[in-house]
Amino acid sequence: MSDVVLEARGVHKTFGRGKTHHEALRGVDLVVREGQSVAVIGESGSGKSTLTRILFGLDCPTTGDVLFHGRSITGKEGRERLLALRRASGVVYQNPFESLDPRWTAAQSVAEPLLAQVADANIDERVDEAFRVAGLDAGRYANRFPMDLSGGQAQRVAIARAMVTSPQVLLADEPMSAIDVAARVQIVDSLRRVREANPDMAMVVVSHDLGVVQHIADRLVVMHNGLVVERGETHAVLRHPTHEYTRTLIAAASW
Amino acid sequence: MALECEGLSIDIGGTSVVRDVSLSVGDGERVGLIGSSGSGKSMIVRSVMGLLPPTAHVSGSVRLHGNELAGLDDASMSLLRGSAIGMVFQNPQNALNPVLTVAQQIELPLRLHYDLSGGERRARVLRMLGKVGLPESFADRSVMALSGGQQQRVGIATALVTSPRMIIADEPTTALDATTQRQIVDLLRELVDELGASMLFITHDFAVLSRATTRCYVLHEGRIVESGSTDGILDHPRTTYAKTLVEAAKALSLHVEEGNGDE
Repeated sequence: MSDVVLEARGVHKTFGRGKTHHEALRGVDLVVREGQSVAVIGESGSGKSTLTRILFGLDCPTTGDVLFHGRSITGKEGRERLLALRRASGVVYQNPFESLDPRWTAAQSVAEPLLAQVADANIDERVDEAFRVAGLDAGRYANRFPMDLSGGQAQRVAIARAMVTSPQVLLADEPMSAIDVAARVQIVDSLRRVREANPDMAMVVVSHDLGVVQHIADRLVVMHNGLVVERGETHAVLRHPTHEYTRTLIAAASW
Repeated sequence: MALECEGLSIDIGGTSVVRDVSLSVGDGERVGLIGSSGSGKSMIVRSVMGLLPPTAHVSGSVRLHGNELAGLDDASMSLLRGSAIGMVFQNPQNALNPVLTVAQQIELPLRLHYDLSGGERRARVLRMLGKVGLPESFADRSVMALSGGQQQRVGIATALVTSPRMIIADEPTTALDATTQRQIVDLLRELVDELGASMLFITHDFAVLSRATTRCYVLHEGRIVESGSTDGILDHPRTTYAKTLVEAAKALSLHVEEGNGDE
């Protein structure tokens, strides 16, 4: 089996204290391997966003640990490892119009993560390549501003931006919730191309919609009330769900 | 006829956003209007509700139960909104007033349009809560303390509390989880039919449309490019644009080969 890139071990997360405290995660384990695409599925409040934020070092667990290539990213000792994870990860957010700077052209947005990392003469080339992998014609879209793009086009610019540094792990947090159905198909296609071009890259997709993730995830992790209630290979889980909540999600996506 | 638009065109700042649209919703009928973002569907809804921006230039006719709405002043439109037409919006968090309790929110149209005592209003609010599947104990909670799905139930209760004959639902499920979407579509369909009201349902998703409506119009770049029975278009879309929408909805629907017991 390929190497483990990211791992959550016994992660608990509690927000607030005393009477008003809320246990968002109640002991969660998760393993993401090289080249694997894992979808974390659940409805609002299930803990899926909290888990993936912690997994990518955007928040800290209350107890438990997160490891990047086998070493902890939490606490003071994990600081260096956390920074290494930040450099090695790309993130695609829910709403491209909120994640792209409205004053920048598409090409500027895509180039920015590179400028922070390398002093490289090939920046233009790598930006073009990122556009191509994301499924956008650079000649046509590079000089457009976000307001001149449709939701699907803007989200593909965001994917190009996340991919330009050739990350080892890509987090896509509800990448299709904010755009319409016709454009969602383009994003599915774009994420598939990105994986084909980077076969070793691991991907974590957060979604509430099994209809979307059936096309882009090798494995499913189903979250409910802060716990993983089911996990397994995507097609196996879809064919033989064992948990009642998974069945509800399957019914919701089967129109 | 509950609603009839004829030759409706809307220009905003010199840009033509709706072009010569004619559509109708029969009494008791649930009709869909489907298109991508920017197709002009929300502008059509706004023109029916009298909520277009002041810079909009409208031509053509919009009739509600035979009465012309085009050219009505704000005061006359206010009398219709919330009494003759009920509206369910896309994002309940934005559509509901954050400082009101659930009961205060739902009784607003009753306060504006009816002469009822506080006790009578309360009784109607509690009855509406039951109909949208929320417990009576929710009445005095803040709307902001509810989940998205619960907020949309409050939105539906607010739209239906005056028993309007025409309901307009503008992407009522887009901001919700997949599991909640299904429940909200089913609830809306059931309540509209129970009231004997008509509904115009706006969406970008054929999957949702097929569950909510029997007939639909496909809107592309401000024009209606195709219309007919919803199932008919799903089975045999004629235009390239309708095909794109249908194929997208089908690709993103689950088709599990072996039965899972639910579908």
